[in-house]
Amino acid sequence: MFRAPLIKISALIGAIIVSVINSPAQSLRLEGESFQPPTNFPIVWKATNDLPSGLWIYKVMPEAFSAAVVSNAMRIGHFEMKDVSRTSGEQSPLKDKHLIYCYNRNEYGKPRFLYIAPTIGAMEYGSQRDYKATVEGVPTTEETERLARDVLFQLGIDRSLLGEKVRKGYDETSTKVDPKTHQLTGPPQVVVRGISFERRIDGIPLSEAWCFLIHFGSHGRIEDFKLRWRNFLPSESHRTLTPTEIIGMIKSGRSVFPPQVGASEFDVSRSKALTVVKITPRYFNGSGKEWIDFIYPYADLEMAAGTVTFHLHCPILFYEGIGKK
Amino acid sequence: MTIMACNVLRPANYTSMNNASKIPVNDNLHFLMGPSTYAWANSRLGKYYANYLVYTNQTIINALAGAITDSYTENSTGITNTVKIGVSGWTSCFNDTLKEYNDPDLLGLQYNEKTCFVPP
Repeated sequence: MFRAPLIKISALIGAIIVSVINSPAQSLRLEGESFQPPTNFPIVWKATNDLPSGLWIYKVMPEAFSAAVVSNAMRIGHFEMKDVSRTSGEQSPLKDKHLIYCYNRNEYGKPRFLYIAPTIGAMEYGSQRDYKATVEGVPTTEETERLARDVLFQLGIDRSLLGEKVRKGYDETSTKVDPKTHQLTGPPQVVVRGISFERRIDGIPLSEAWCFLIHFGSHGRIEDFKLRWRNFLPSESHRTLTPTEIIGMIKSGRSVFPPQVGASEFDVSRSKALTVVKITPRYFNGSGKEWIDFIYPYADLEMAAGTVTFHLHCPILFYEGIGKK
Repeated sequence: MTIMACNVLRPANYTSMNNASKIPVNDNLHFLMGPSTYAWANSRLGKYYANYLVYTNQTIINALAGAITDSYTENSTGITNTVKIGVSGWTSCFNDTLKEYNDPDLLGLQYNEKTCFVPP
């Protein structure tokens, strides 16, 4: 009489264990050293910005680019089918077993390449210019943005998923020295202009500073571009942690001290208290050059410890085992 | 030659050195490059630099610029300044890659400054 219920119960427990082990929320690994403040260390919450009530974990899917997008990318790069080869991806900047590699020589006889990594959702293009060639007709900053948005359109990027703010000024200037007089021949001349765009998921920025970076030279010639655009689907939604729960996470050593400029854990360890000054939710996208299974949101916490400011990264979603003291 | 240190080739310093005919590039050195602003250590920078040099056969200049751009893009926590590299050398050598390179043409030095990271 007891055997059947016991089997059912054990099967149920097993199913729960498997589901917990396989839960994407369990496998979030933030980059950095585990941060463990001393016991009874006061942590004050002074961040005034609100968090969304819930956020999604996204499952990364292969085949980020359609055939039309691949075709457009090849056309932008002046490649034909004869220029295409498949590589294992081991000897390339993008780690993708379905990597498409295009190579030929450009109008200067210099190398020109295009990597398309459909599984991880990335592209890299470069067309080496001739530094001895005359530079003229470099786009203005405004023209650069317009040209870049046109390329984004051709690459099939949904522009509504881009952040409003772009980063301009990825420029290159050049000055020459007269070989006879040894004086500079004039003020620096802009020879290349660049611009980058940021991707957002549900209005939230990614861990990367940009998803698309492009440079233009003479007469709007595309010098190079890099695209990081993973394909993903909603997997799980969870409520976000409250400030009290996030403080509990920090106290229990579940936040990390990411590599950062301007502060060290030693500086922080000498303080008497910590203050959470600002919280920014972000989605962790890895390097953008390698496969990851899921894209998770996390909290980028701007902290103050006396006169030292620093950042902590912390899980932000509530699920079983998280958020409890 | 690459020197990975802050403010190696600041424009003001370059102009000053040039006015005194003391540019640190002789007839044999193809070019000298390094950050012309404050720059920051990053654990992936060296790997990406080598990767771009060897695998994509990019110019040495673009390999360094690309490595700084990529590594800072992935982790720019705390970086608040624009990061640039300066390059001083012979024009014929600016297209040098590991596999294809030219001798210095001695037709005048060139100084380029390339932006690798723009803060938010």
